[in-house]
This record gives sequence, structure tokens and C-alpha cells, in this order.
Amino acid sequence: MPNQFSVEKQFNCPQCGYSLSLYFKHTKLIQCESCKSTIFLEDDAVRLSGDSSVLAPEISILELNTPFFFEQKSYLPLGKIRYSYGRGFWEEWWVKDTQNNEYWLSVDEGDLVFQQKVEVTYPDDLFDRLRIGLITSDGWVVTELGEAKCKGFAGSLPKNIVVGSTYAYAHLSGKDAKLRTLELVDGKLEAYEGKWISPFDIGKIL
Amino acid sequence: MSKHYAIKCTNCAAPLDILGGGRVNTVTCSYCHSILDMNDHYKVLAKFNDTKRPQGPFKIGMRGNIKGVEWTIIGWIAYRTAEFPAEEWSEFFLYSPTHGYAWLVYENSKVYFSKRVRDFDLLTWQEKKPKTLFYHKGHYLQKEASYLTYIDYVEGELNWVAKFGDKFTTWDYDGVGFQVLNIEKTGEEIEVYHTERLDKSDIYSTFGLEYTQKSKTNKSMEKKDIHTLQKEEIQVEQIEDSKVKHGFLFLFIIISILSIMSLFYNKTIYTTHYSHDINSTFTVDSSAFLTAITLSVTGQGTENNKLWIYKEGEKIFYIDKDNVFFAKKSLSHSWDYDAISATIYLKLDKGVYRLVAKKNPNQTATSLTIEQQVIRTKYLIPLLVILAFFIVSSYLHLLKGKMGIVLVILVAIIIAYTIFGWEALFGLGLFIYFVTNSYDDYYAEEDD
Repeated sequence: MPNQFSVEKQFNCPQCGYSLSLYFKHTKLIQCESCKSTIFLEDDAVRLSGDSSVLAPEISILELNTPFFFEQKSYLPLGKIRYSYGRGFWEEWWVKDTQNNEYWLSVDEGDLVFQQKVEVTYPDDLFDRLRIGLITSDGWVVTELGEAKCKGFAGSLPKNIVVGSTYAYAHLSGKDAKLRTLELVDGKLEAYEGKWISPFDIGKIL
Repeated sequence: MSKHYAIKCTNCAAPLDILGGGRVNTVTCSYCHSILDMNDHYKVLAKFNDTKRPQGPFKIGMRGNIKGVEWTIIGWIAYRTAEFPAEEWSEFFLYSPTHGYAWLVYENSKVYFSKRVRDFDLLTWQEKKPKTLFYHKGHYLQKEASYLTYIDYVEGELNWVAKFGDKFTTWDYDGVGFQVLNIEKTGEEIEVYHTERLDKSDIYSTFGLEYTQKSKTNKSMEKKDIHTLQKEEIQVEQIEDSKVKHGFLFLFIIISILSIMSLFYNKTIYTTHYSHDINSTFTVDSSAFLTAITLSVTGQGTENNKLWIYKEGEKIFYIDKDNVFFAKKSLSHSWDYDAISATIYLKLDKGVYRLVAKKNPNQTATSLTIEQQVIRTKYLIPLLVILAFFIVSSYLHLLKGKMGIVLVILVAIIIAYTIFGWEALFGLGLFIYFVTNSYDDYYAEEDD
């Protein structure tokens, strides 16, 4: 399967001058591959955040900027955020397909969940009332509640993140094995919906 | 994900290697069998006293390659069923940094790979607990009732708290190629596992185990057991599936040919318009299919018409407004009183027949036509529609587990319509409603 992803834009790191490639125009945050500086992208301007985030190398089924295929479609991992849950961590990978659709692929000890951002209407105090086993008004069952702590990121992202920040999340299960994740970030509810996928269904593009 | 490290058992101080990533919740000491809570300073949650380690080729810490992925054995559970307590099997908890957790099952000297799946529609399954189901285009059949399993031995790391005597209920669904879907229920929690049988010699080799002499002599059989039998089983299913498809296609072609023939094949052997009684002969020179006698009138309907057919002086057919007689048998249904035409289909052999007809005195004219080699499209067209439906659905796998029910309902509709007419469909609808409700109630009761 040929690599169908191309570089949309190139610019130099304002810190070290290293040439950086952008594969997606909606990128808001990028980490310099060379000096690990965090760079904000605002329209055509680039700005250093003053932070640098270095993630400890870990074996993963995905590799940044290396396409993979799933269900006969190719995807490109653009960036990842690592979250801690105490003794371990999981990673949220920002990926895009060849039509520039954005997805989030959660990778947690071989459990992969492939999701896209969706709009939902829940009451403002939803997170106060959530408990495991609760069925929401639209038929989703709450299966897990927790708090995620951002350990850092690599690659590029469509949003700004703050290393060390925390947010509450809820995992829900729906009909036809659909999965939904709700996140309460800075008091604002974000929702993602998709499905679990087997790590054996992820293929490398040679 | 997390780094490997070692701890000391908080009960007996034995060294314990922690190999299994960030999602393990407990480690059971191999020496004193205390269960330590990984999330609460290795607090002792429970202890297995007088427990005996089961026999088995695999041990914690062994590494091997399964399905192209490197796995480490980090935990071990032995199970028994309540029904057959003498039979025990072991499940070894596997960990891979890229593929997470899975199980290597060792049962009756056979090895299986089992991994939890989360794309199975559990909500629908819980509603009906069907006997057959589809998962990833594979068909699975529940051959045995659900059974109760309890834990007999625990060692090493696990991603939940497992204690001696813990029980859960399992529903096994067998698929092709030694694949099984296991649905396990503990309390309110339900998990689904996809299990497939592995080549034992390959697994022994990759985990660094030596095959015994007995095993070696059986090696070729083992190879056949997995690869050939899996292949054979899949081939048999494919062949059977193909046979069904070809069968449908063959029937469809035959019935299509018959339908086309029905337009051109029939031959008029006698026709007349009469305003008085007739006594005449006609000759049937082909016994293929049916002979159709069509009577049509102007005026008051066919009510008072009478018709006789004789062969070699013997009456073989008679019809009037009240009676129908054919081949020494009285039949129940005659023509409708107000019908202005009627077609009678008879199976007549070759030969010369005498026709006697008495007309209704109120009619101004009656016409009578006799055709041979007639094929009735009334039965063929619905059959063609059904066959086309099944051909398409079998190629597209549209109906899945409901195929059988749909087939029965369609056949019932055809039979009801052809025997009783449209009025029967109302009764049939009620019957289908009753059957489907009973079907749901049956599984609901089994659920309870």
C-alpha cells in the first residue's frame, strides 16, 4: 500500500532551526523533533511555549508519522498525548486518514479504541451525577470513571495541552458495541465516539 | 504500560518479579500464596492455604511468540467446573507491551490463545442470549448450556482480584477452525473472549519447552490436528455454503426456464363457442405439465354450467356448481357462483377424450378452450421471488441468524396463500406474532 500522506507545510523550529514538517493544516501544537521545544502554531506564525516535554521511550504498536492501515484504510499518526493513571499510562494518538478526517486512537495496554469527536447535549452537572452502571438519557451505560493526568506529548496536536494538568473522564458503552468517552476539560464537556479495535487488526504499511 | 521491577512479598518477603504492565491489580505470591494489592501498597487481600500447584508445562516468566507477537507469562489460574470437578485446566496470563493482555489456555494437552474483545454487542446478547450468533463474519453456535466455573489455583499477576473458589458463569459458542467465543459473567460484569486453538508443537517450541517422545510421535497428527483439520473444517463449511448457494441458483434457473416456457410452451388443442349443449372429442398428444380447460361466459356467470370428460367410456372428470369429481375422487371446491370465467387444471395422459358440456340457459354464449403443456405461473413466480431473495442474502450475508425464521415465515406465507388465499394471511400474521413472542419469552426465562 503506497504512502498517501504528504507534507502540507514546512517551517523551521524557532529555537534550534530544525526543519519541521506539518502533515495537517489544523495542527495547533508541535514538538520539535530535535530540541523537543513546544511550538504553538497560530495562523502562519510560530511561537515557542517555553516548555519542553520529553516522554520516556516506550514500545508502542504505533509510530509517529509512520502510516498504518486498519479496515483497508490508511492512517497517519500525527501526535500523541500520554496520560498517567498512577502505576502506568495510556496514550491518545491523534491520527488522520487520507481524506484528512481526524481521529483519536486510545492505546492502553493493547486495548485500542478508535474515536471521533462528536457533539452531545448533556446537562452541565453531568459529571457530578455520573456513577458506574448509570444509564444516560440517551441509552449509554457508564463503565468507567477516572481522572487523567497529562504526562507530556510528542509530534503534533490539534489543541494546546498543559503538561501536568488533569481532567475527569467517563467511558460509556452503547448499542452495537459502540464506545463513548466524555471528558471534562476546563469545565467544558468534550465527547468522542467510536469502537474498540483489536491490535491484531492494525497493519504496518511496508 | 510500565517498567518491569521486583518487590518483596509483604507476607513472606519472597522476591516477586512484576512483569505485567500498568493494568495488573494483584500479584499472588508463588511461595506463600498471598494475594497482594498492587494499588494499595501490596496489602495482603487474601491467602490460599494448603493449595497445590497444578501440573502443567508452562511457568510464569516464560516468553514466547504467538501470532507474531512476543508474550510473557505473568500469571496462572487453574479452573474447574461445578459439573465435572475432576477436570481441571490452566490459563496462563500473557502480557505484551504492544498487544496488552491475553491468555494461553492449556486443557487436555491442547493449547489455545484467548483474548478479550470489546466489539461484541453485549447489550443485544443480554436481551436474547441466542443459540447462534455472528461475530466478525464468523458463525458461532452454542452447543452446550452455560456452565459454572470456579477458581482452583492462582499465582502471579492478574488484572483483577481473583480468589480461590470465585465463581463465574460461561457461555461457549463454537465457530469454525477451532474458534470459540466465551462469554463470562461474574456478578454484574460480563466479558467476552475470542479463543482459537494453536499448534501445540509450535507453542512448545517458542516457549522453549521440549516435546516429549509421546508428543513427538503425535507431532504429525498434531500438525494435522490444527492446520489440516482447521483447513478441512473451513473447506467443508465453504463447500456446504457453496452447495447451498449453487442449489439455490440451480433451482432459480430451472424455475426461470419453466416460467419462460409457460409463456410459449402451451398449445391449444380444442376451442369452441357454443350456444347449445355440446358433445365432442379432443386429443391430448403430450402428457407434459397440465391440461387447462378455460370456460368463459357472458351473462349470469358459470353457475349452472356442467362439464364432463370421459376417456374410453369412463367418466374421469365432472364439475357443476356444487360438485367436482376427478379421477374417482370428489373434490371440495367448485367454481364461484358469480364467476364469469373459470380455468380448470387437470393432469391428463395422452389420448382421446370426450367432452360433454351443458350450458347455463341464461347465458347468450359460452366459450371453451382446452390447452395442453400448461405451466402454472401462480406457483412459479412466488418461488422465483423467494429464491432470488435467498440467493442475494446468502451472497451478502444479510439475514445472518434470522435466516431460518425468515425462511419458515416465507414458506408458510406461500403455503397459506396457495391453500387458503389472502384470508389466511391474517391468521398467519397472528401465528407469527405468537411464535416470535414465545421465542423471546423462552430466552427471557432462560436468562432468569
